[in-house]
Amino acid sequence: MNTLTDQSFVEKTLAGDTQAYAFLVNRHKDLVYTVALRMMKNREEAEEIAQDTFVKAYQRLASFKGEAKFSTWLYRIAYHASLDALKRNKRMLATEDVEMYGDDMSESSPDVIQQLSDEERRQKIRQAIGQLMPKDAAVITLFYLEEHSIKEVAVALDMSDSQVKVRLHRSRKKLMNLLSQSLAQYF
Amino acid sequence: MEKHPDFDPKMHDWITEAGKETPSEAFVDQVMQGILALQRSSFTVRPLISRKSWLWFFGILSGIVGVWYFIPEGEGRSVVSEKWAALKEILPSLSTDLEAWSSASYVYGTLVLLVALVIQFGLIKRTNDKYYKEW
Repeated sequence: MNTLTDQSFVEKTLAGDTQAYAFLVNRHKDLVYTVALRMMKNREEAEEIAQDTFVKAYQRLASFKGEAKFSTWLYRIAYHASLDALKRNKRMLATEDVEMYGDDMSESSPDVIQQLSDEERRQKIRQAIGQLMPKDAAVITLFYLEEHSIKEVAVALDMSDSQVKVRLHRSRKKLMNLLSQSLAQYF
Repeated sequence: MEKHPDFDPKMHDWITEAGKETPSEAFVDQVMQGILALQRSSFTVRPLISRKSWLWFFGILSGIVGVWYFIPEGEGRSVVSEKWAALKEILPSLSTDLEAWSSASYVYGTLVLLVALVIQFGLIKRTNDKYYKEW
């Protein structure tokens, strides 16, 4: 069943097979939740948004024409649902302003982070991603984690290619600075 | 993956290592419950007798009552009084009651009750629609 494409599950769902949709939810739940969590910075809210995303997607499934990947379409719904929730809570600007460290420290952080234990390193990276601006966190997650192309990220997040590139560049630098900041104790 | 100046293999490794987050175990069930609730809320009850049929029914009923009551017959006697007289012949034991029943106030009362019944049908329909919508 794993080898079947998303499109075939979409068609089965549209034909009335609810279990086919359950399979789609199971297949994409982790990344939809990850995108929502990295934007919302709160597990309960992220879970609620991820659930709403799948319910909304089910409601609009007939309008999915397969022009983009099903996953891209899902992330787009999740991204907009997260943005709406952030706007409602007026938390768009409530992200931490990262203190910029010198280039020397940023350059050396990759080596230091490699010396940490796996779990510690994972924790530090997650914390750093958690401090990015919501849109930047979504861009970097889809680009590096899901290995979407610039074009796919742009479609999923309703941005132009150049906006995605700018955000990628900015979030990469910011992430490096955040990691440097959290690794300061190891210097 | 599309390569461009911002693609950083080290960053890719880290982000991949940080991995995906996992929602609660009940996540899929909760989504499917939400979908089930959605399907229930969009469930509609089609009435056995359509609104149009009900309108025809009450139209014809009102017509019969109108003809029965308002069209005069003979000198100073309406169809209704003729009918009451015929009914009294069939049921002589109830003649006293029928006499009272045929008085104008009772006829008006009956008409009011009939109108109330028609209104009640509408209210029952609305209540049913609301109930099934919530269900």
